[in-house]
This record gives sequence, structure tokens and C-alpha cells, in this order.
Amino acid sequence: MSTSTFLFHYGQYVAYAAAWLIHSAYIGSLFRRYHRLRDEAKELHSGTK
Amino acid sequence: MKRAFPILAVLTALFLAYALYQSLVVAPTDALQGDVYRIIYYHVPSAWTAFLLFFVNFIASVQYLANAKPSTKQAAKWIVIIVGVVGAVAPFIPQVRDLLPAGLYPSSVATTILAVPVFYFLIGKFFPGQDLDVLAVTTAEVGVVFCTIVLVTGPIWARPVWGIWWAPGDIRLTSTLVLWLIYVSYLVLRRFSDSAQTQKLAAVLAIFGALDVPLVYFSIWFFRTQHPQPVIGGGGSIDPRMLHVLLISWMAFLCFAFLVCWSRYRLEKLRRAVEEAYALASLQGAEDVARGVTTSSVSLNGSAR
Repeated sequence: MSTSTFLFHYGQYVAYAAAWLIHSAYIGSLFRRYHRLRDEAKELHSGTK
Repeated sequence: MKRAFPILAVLTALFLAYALYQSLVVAPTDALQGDVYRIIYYHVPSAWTAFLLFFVNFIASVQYLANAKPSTKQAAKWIVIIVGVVGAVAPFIPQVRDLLPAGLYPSSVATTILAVPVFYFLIGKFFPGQDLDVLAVTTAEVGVVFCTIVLVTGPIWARPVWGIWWAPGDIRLTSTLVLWLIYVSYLVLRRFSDSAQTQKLAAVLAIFGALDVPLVYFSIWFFRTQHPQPVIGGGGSIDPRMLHVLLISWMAFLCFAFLVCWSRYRLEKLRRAVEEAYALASLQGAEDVARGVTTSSVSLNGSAR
């Protein structure tokens, strides 16, 4: 099956998966940044005590 | 507020699931393109959401720059009011109406222009001072994510329908890519520049980026493009059932974008708070060192006497 034929039949699912892969990657990056900041804040708090 | 977020997240997830069901199952199949046309239900709402976010970024950036001095703040306020009044009336003047492309309703143009003062004053009210800059970076980043989805899902549709992934030279495609590149450079500037002027430079760049949005949007109205011509308004003939699903899908994406922006906004506030705390702690440390030096120098003086 050529790429065109495959996408003609399943393109909507591929696009949907791609869209949510991008959103998931971004939300994942937000979580990572949040945890890093929270650790930094904790470290700062314990350092100033 | 802490409780509102999870509740809204669950509601948004349900809404997105409903929109997905409508997009993949309920919406009728296109007579020519078959089911692959259903990409429209994530491609177009993502594009509209990105435009809206870049518009908010534009308003926040203009306001951030205008608020630097009381005189510019006052002048900007009046300019925005004048833009709103002129924009609400001008599209209905026959000479101006004739300039609009066929199918673009004067009421749509007036409503869009009226959004400028409405957003300007609402954003100014709810995001004072540095919060404007926080809002600007938030909307730019989330806007880039949605714009990336537009650029990824477009070629997935184009390959089976046009036979090519990308149409080089197509103004809609090129201007969208340029828009994405401008906002990516905006984020890169904010990430890697330590200058005190970064926020102002980024605000100026955002204003230039926002100027590309009308070009992207109207390119299919004014130019012949490989990209499909308008199907909504402009004499477009979208099936009402498809339009219904498209609007449901956009609403779901808007709710999702709102939640992501909320999270990103809180994260940026936290980042700035931590940065400020670090700066204060290092100042405190420097002060303690200085105090220690002074004390020792006093005792040395004392012993020397």
C-alpha cells in the first residue's frame, strides 16, 4: 500500500494521533518544568532556613 | 480555584471525547475526499485557536510596551478606542464595503475589529503590570503548539488529496510557516537572552508576528492558492452538519487551550517567583558577607586602637 493510499484511508487517524502526540509532549514538558521548579523552590527554602 | 482546575479538566476531556466522536463518526463523509477530509476537524480548530492566542499575545505585548510611560499608556488607550469606533463603522460604508472580497461580510469585519478594544481593556483589567508579560509568553508558547499541529496535520491531508506533502510557493502555506518561525524565534529570544531589554524586544517581535496573522487568514480570499478556498463564509458551501461538528470541535479545542494556558501561566508565575527568591537569597548572602567584613574590620580597628 502506497503512502497516499494509506493516508487516504487512515489519514484522519494519523493526523489525530499526531495532534495528540504533540499536545502530550507539550503537557509532559510543562510537568517536567513544574517538578524542576518545585524542587528548586524546596532547595531554596531549606537553604535559607 | 484549586478545585476548579480538575473539574474543568474532566469536563474538557469529556467535551474533547464528544468532539472526537462527532468528527470521526457523526459527521458525514465527503463525496470527493472520503474520510480523510475529517482532518479538517483538528486542523482548522487548531489554526483558529492559534490565531486567537497570537491575537491575545499581540494585545498583551502592545499593552506591555504602552504601559512603560503614563503618556503612551493614555495615547494607546485612545488609539484603541478610535480603532474600535472606526472599525465598527467603516466596513458598512459602501466605498469600503466594495474593497472587501466577495462573501466577506461587513459585520464579520466590524466584529473582528471591535474585538481589539474589548480584548485590550479586558486584558488590561485582569493582567496588570508584569502579568501582561506573563500572559504574552503563555499565549505565544501555547499558540506555537497549536500552529505546529496545523503544520503537521496539513501535509497528512495534502499527500493523498494533492499528491504532494507541501506546495512550495503557496502563500497560505508559506505565510503559516513564517508565522510559526516568527513565534518560535520569539520563544528562543525569551529563553536564551539575559538582557534587561528582553521583554521589550520580545513584545516588539510579537507585534511583527501578529501582523502575519491577517496575511495568513486572508491569503485564501485575495490570492489563488493550492490551499482550499474558504468554505465557511465567502460563498463557501460547507454542509451545515459539517459546520456544526467543526464548531463543536473548535469549542472543545478552545476549552483545552484555556486549561493549557492556565497551567502555563501558573508555571511562569512560579518560575518568576523562584527566580526572585534566588535573587533575594543571593542579595541576603552578599549582605551577610559584607556585614561580616564590616564587623571584622571594626574589631580590627578596635584592637588596633
